[in-house]
Amino acid sequence: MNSPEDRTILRQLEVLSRIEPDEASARLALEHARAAVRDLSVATAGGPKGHVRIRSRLFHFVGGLTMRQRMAAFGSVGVAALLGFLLLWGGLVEKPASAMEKMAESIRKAKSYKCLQIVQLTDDYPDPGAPSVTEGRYTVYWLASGSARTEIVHPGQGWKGPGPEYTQIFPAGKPSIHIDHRTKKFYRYPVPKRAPYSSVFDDLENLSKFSAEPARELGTKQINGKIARGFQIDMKKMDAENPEPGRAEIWIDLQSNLPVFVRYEGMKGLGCSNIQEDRDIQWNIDLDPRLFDPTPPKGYTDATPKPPTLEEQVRQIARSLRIYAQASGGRYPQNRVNSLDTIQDLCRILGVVKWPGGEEKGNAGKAAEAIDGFDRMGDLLHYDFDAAYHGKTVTPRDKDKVVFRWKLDDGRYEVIFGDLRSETVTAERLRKLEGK
Amino acid sequence: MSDQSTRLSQLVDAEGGRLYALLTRLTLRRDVADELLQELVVRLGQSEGFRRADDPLAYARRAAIHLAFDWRRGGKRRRRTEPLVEEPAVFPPDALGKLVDREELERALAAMDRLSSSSRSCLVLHYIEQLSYGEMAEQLQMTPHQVRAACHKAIRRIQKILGAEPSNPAPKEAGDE
Repeated sequence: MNSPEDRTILRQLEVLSRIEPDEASARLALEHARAAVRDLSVATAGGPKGHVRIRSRLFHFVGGLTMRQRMAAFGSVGVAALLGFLLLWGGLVEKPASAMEKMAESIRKAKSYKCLQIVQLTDDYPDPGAPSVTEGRYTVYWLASGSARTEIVHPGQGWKGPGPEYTQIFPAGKPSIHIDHRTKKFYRYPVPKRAPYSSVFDDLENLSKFSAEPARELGTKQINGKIARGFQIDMKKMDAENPEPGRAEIWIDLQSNLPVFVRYEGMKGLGCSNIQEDRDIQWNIDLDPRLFDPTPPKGYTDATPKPPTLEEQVRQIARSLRIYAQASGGRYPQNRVNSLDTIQDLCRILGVVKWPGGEEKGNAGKAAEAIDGFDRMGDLLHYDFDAAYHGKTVTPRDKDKVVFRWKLDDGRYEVIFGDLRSETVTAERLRKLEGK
Repeated sequence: MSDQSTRLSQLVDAEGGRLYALLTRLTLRRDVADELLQELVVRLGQSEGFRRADDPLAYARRAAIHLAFDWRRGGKRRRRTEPLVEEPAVFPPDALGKLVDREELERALAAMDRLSSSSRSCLVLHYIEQLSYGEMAEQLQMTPHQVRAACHKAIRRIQKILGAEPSNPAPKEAGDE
């Protein structure tokens, strides 16, 4: 949930993102840049020198061989490739895609999981005095019911323990808790509408869906007492929606078809790189239910930001909807409701303009008054408050229709009608109001 | 014209406007952005990294971010010529632009300068250049979830920096006189 401070900086960044240079100065800057390119090409005529690519070196080496040596070298490679091909074609080993499918299926059937996840980030431009390589160690626990826990330590960054620096507990269907052991504070967060609740589990979910052909086989070796078969896969194939560069190495237990070691390596370059290893993976083990108990340790302080009172929330939301409807000639927001998008939309409708010429038009103050209510609506819709917005079909004239509602802690619902009256109702009454 | 110059020329033609806009957003000065764009061209022209980069725009964008914050850090003292009149950036013509004033933006940018290079890049690329986590992951060689985590962490850090000194504007630098 974004705090007011978060929103302030997000708004500042949003304003920065929308600063546009005027056409005349942009044209002039481009002319200057083109002139700089011309000057440069005169100064460096003849092209860069002294850079020999590895590929060139290889061909230089091959070029230095006699014809017989070349035939022998390429012949050996050709024979090895042919043998490999025949081995695979002959079905002497299980086809890799099938091994991946079996792994994915075994993960989907798993009941529990524990591993040590080590993430190493390399920054080529660290702060002065800061290390260029930093490491995070996450002990991850997961239950198929949807509960999870991570214990986090950052070695070499001053934490002396005992235990982790942070603990995050996500009990299935309940609010999560984030515990900061350094400051002895904890924060509670509502249940998000959909998993994954933490990025730590994204990779596991991706592997449970993976069925593509691996890039290559890595052979077999013993890991934690288990015979495992290794595959290298292109990370772009792991998540079709968010393809990412890099490669992953997965070692799968021949008996259980479950991964026992996974290494993700993001491609290097452009100043930073990352390596992640999932080690000591244990599947289908008994995990103590107390691991997923979101009770904070004794003596810790609750630092969770407090939401406004119900009356204040209703007042803010009604005010924002009223301002929008008045500005738009009797319509509530037609698209998804959140702070930035809806306010931007409202600004456009209000015709708030202060440039060019410095002459102000529109009513920026009205737009500012609407921010809090739309912020709150955005939060209620994002987290699992069983909130629903019907602004597309309900107008200010629909005094008995529900335009927005959300669930309260006691199980009842707070309802805001088209005419912006509000009422606290039972679930049964809500069903009638919404015509279900 | 060498390969490097051709590559550079193509970049300026295709993406020069975007790079100039980025530099304007990070310096809040059109005249400085103009000068830094020329400096960027010169540096890229001499850079082996740019020559080898698979994505020249991503490389140039990152170099532009470094240049802009280097200027904010005091590099502008080294400028040979100072304009007689400052040319401020054009603020967005809407209510959000009105709600946030230039001094606040200067403070936010000064706070960004105190972040690590990767955190700063995350904030600039995601929140100012509005690239998606997926696009940024390609450019920063991280996974999208790491980018997302890095962005959230950067927001926390910048909020902490700003919260620690709420009424201290960014220190005045020579070029602002």
